[in-house]
Amino acid sequence: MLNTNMVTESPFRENLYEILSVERTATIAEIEQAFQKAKLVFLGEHDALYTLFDDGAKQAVWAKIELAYRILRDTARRQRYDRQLSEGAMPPIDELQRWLDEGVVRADGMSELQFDRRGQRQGESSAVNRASRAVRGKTLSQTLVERLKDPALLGGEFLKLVREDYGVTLDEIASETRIGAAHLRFIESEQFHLLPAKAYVRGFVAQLVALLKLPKSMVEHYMSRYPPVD
Amino acid sequence: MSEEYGVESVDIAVKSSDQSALRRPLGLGPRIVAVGGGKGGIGKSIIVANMGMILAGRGRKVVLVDADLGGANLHTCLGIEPPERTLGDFVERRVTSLENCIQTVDGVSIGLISGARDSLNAAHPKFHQKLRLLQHLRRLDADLVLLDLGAGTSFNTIDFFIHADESLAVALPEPGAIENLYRFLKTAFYRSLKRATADDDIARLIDMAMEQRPGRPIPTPADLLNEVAKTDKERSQQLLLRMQQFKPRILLNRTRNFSDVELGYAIQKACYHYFGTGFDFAGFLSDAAEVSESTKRRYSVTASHPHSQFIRQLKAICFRLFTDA
Repeated sequence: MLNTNMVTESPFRENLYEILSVERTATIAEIEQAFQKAKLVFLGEHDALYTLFDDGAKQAVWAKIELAYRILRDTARRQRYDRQLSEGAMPPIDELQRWLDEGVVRADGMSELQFDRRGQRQGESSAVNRASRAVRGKTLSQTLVERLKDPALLGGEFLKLVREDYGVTLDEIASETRIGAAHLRFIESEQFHLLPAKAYVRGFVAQLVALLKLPKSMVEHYMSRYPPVD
Repeated sequence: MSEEYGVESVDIAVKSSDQSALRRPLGLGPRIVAVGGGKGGIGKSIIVANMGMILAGRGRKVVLVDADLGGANLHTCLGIEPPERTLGDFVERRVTSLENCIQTVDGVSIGLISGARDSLNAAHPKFHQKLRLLQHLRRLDADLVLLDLGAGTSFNTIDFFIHADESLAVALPEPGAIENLYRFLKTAFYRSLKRATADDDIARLIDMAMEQRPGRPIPTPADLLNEVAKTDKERSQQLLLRMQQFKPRILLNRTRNFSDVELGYAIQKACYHYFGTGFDFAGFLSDAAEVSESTKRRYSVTASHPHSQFIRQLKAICFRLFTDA
């Protein structure tokens, strides 16, 4: 069964600011910083998570943090969210996820693209969701689904085939996940010596696997391809 | 964890009527501060002793309580002999007033109620004994009462931790110590939830959540809320409010470098996403040779190294936590 990268509604009922632990008045820089800090904790194998979170719970938290970041980092989406929050409404998670897909048109008619500061770096912001948009609604070709049954085949090459099957480029994934394109390339070519510490790679692969709608077990199959430590 | 099953009936009886006795009357009585943490040897006693010295030096009336019955050593951290009358004498009613157990420390306004020289029996007070102790602590003539809790996650320790006005959980930047911290916090968290609920169904679910075996049915507080919400959304909301009242502070001891300090913030973040409630990070204390040196010579660090980094950091923590005490 293929799992999707859906965030589930949190029973704690926190708002997105609380999820990122920033103030309602936080600047973009503060949001960015909070996200990077959270990334260090929840992406990889941080000592602080030991015995508190298993892999599934950790990924659920990470998905929540990522969603919060992607809404708050985007000025138009953040304004829309703030408006609802100040009216006492807490938009449900699936609605927030729709926002990420549709692209918000601002009141002054300026498109999200024009407004978004990331637009300064040419083309990047238009690619923000392109990877998940490309993947959404599509299913994997039958030959690849067959291949999933054989753990021996589930390595970097397989990840590459799946990505190509969805028609997603490495750059699109890089700009959406913020994993460097070079790292992604090394993951696909299994050039482990060129990659950062294993714990980080596991985090990268977990993100990649979630984005490509592959089963979570794929992460461990991939990690088992690391040469044994002597 | 089950040593108390015999007194469960007492627990239920106090739930409604005496719960208020555990809380601090507004503006009255000393503020009770509990210092705990799952593991032994993480510096609880040293922290309590020196916090006491610092606060006393600032003119506060402080009573230190070595609630580590059976493992008491707070007197050693203060550099004094174990006292004649102890907490155990009070618990077992050999003395009627707690005031009679207080040993004063030379020159400063610190009183010590020690658990040293106690019989091993006293190490497991029953719930009503703990309740009586808490009530008497609230009547002490002091600004602050600092409780030095024992190691481990037995309810002896946990009950003092959750009923104090201020709870500090000490940890070291090591995986084993963090694991113990989490076990301690989880136990305290669920215990306080369970003591606050009168609902049998929820109590049963909390018991399930407290199980620690792998593959347990309710692994996280979020799962507990979801489970309750399945049958009753309203009660799940109430439970969430209860959860959010659990507000211990985390103190990281013996940090050696910046990444240890970062770990403190990461722990705070992890706890927030696990428990769904924000814990305060009280601060960190650097690993310092003068601390172990002082302890070996049986001096308090405050007395022997008043200008050390350890004392400066502890002063900053005291200042932040107890400005109004």
